[in-house]
Amino acid sequence: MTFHEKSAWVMAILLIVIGSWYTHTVWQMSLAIGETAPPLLPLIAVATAALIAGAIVGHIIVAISNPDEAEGETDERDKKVLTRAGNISGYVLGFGCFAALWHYFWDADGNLMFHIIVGSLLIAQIAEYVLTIYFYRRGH
Amino acid sequence: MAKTPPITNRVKELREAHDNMSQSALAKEIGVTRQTVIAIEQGRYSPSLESAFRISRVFGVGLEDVFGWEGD
Repeated sequence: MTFHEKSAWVMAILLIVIGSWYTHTVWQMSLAIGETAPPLLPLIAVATAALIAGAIVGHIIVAISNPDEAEGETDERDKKVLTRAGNISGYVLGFGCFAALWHYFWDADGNLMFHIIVGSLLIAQIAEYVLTIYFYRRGH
Repeated sequence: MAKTPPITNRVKELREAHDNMSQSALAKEIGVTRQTVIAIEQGRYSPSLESAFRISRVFGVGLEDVFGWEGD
């Protein structure tokens, strides 16, 4: 398994866990107040800090497990896989942003627009890492 | 993208015939990672033309002695 594939596993798992927690928290808050919860900086800060800390620890573990590859450069296959995965995830993000804008156009709910964009960002990133793993495993 | 490329190769065979050259050594010679050499040998990745030439030059053979088209 290449360093990039291991890195994709770390980031995909982190994003799924932290993204689920973030989404669940916003959902529960919205149910409690009876409308879409506003964006809360402390919640975003905690999620971001957890993601950064998890990414650092995860990548240190991956690098320690195979130091030679951690220092290696990205080769032609890595570039092809990463470019392809990034390209497709861009469509996911674009679709999410368009959905958020369209929703705002009809409901004028800025809070919901914010959450849809954050959700799109999360899903697009998860898609990028999942596709990276898929392309490495299935070949191209 | 996920389909196996219709390109066959004799990289593993040539590597073993070349003093049992390791995958890491070949990877270093052609400037890719060991995982990429493994993917090429397993037919999961078709190298760029540049890497294909590098591989054939490492073994001192022609390009078509290393790579072929499936069914030919």
